[in-house]
Amino acid sequence: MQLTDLNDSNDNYLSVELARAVANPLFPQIDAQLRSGRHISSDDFQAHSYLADAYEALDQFYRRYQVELIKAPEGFFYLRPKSNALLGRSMLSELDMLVGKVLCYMYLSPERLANEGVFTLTELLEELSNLADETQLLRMVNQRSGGSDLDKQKLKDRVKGCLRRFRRLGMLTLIGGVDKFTLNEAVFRFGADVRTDEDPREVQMRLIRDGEAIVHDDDLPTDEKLQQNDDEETEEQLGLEV
Amino acid sequence: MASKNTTDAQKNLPELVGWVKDQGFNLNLSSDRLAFLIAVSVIAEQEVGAELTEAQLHDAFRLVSDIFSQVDETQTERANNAINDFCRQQLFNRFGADTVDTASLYRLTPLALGIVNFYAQQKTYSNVKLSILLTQVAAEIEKVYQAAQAGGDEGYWDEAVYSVLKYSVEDIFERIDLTQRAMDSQQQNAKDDIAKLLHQNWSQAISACEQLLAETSSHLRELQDTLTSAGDKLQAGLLNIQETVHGNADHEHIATLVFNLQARLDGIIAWGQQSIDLWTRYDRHVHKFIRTAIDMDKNRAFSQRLRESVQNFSEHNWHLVIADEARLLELRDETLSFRDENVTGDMPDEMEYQDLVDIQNEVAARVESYLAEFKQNQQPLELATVLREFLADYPSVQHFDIARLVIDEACKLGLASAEVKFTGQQAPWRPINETGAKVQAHNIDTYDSLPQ
Repeated sequence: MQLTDLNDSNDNYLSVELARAVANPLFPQIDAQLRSGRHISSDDFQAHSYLADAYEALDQFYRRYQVELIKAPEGFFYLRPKSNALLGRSMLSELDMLVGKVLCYMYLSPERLANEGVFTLTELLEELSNLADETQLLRMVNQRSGGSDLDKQKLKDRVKGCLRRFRRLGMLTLIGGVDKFTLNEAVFRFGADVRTDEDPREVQMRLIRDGEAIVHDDDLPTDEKLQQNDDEETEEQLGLEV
Repeated sequence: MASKNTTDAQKNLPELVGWVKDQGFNLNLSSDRLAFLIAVSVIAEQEVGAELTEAQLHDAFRLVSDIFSQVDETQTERANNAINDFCRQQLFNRFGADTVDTASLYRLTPLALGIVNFYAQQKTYSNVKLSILLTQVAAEIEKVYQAAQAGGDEGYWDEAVYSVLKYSVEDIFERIDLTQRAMDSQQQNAKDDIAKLLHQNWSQAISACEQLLAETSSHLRELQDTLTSAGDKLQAGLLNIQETVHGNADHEHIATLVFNLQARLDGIIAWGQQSIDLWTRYDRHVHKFIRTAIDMDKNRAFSQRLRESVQNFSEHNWHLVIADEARLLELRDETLSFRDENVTGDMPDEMEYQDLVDIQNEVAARVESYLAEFKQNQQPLELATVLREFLADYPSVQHFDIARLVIDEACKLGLASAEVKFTGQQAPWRPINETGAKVQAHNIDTYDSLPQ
């Protein structure tokens, strides 16, 4: 990018903090994890305390890639690539978002306390069918779904796929197979639009402006306010490599 | 009870299962029946001989039936059914009347008492009771030790040592075990209570929860202290007894019993530690939950909004963005497959991979051309000599394979006249290499006339 800038700017050398952060033996692994989309929470004690210490230096470091290192209010870290970022970025699917929201809801429900935070796939599927509209769910699996058992099985498999993806993103920890898992604060990213009692539409727009989220492709918002933002959004989507 | 019975039962488990099947044992208690059973036991306690008449049973049944608001009309019939069922299920013992006009008497069986006790006394188990049991058992063990030291004839040992250990000490251990099981369910209840409290109004429930947590934790810790301090003393006592009977063949059954009791005691102490560990884990989790979940969602409005946002998901149109840089390791794999041709260059001849079949063919060709001369000159082919010359050029590890090839080729050329004529003469064994391999073959001297 702005290569000439490098020579001109005052900080054309590494700050001591950054040098120390990069020299840390933990850096390569944490860096690779962050770049692959992983959320690092306090459960990963070593990596988390490293990031907490080196946060400012590393944030500057990643900004040079047009990426922000975010420390969420819940305490976890993750990378948020801007639309012109030098790193690859992708978005989560519709089903991912729905399952994520349900997981977030489950995280907050006190009924699950007795299991010490261990959730099962069955519980998740139950909660999904309780909360969400089943036909809509099945349509995510098969556009012309008639609610057959085959589609339900497919949905189950897709939900399993979501769980595996979330595991890679550091949002949950699988215990044994994919049937049992514990949740991580990072699932709160899914609840971002309803976190406060503001109008969710407003919050969504803010999320989109911040580069935290993007609008769904084929289902453009009916809201006029969002239409105004459309130009920016399409730009962002074009720069995307999904 | 469990450990004792399982050891016995393991031997004849199928027999035991078969017995239950043959006898058709079954228990089925709906809550009104259970209430009836408990009501009967309460009435029975007030009776001198714990014997009940049919009228009393009917009274008890009416009481239960009213509370469960069941229909009056069928009451007598249902009461009779219930009583007959209980007799069949061995919950009541019916004693026949001595004369025709006196009614039957009923008494609760041990099974019924056990069931009633389970429900009625569950709440009375506590660490106070456990410590009483522990003191009791310590006194018994001390008594047995002293009796064992005094010694006596066989009858004395059986009475003063074996039977006390068997019926008193083991029995108390059993009760400790039951108490512990009851306390396990108490912990489960505490967990349920906490979940219920939080469900109702969680910011106000926090202090109640913390109190409940702290109470149970301190309760468990106290219990564990009691258990360990008493446990050590008990183990020492048992060990003393074991030493006294050690090496005496007559008292082997006592030694076995003491050994079982020791294992039992270990189990009791381990239980305490385990329940503390489990509770600590739960406690830590609840605290974390209070710290994170409740802090984030003071009045559960967030939860509610989340719920709504899942329900109205069709209005949802944003997707989280995540960094998704392909991993360096994977990149390297991809690059390799892209530039396949650059990686494969010329290989030095010595390192070039060769197929075994190719090598064999090559050697076979060489052998063939070598042997062809014999055929052309109609010269008798003496296999041993040929092999010997041939093998000298190859390392000994390859001799077997080479020899096989040579023989195959030689056989293709022709036959040995000595063999064709059925002379019955054995060809002599002749050495073919330095390491002592030998071959037995007639000279091949009759070549096929057909050109190859």
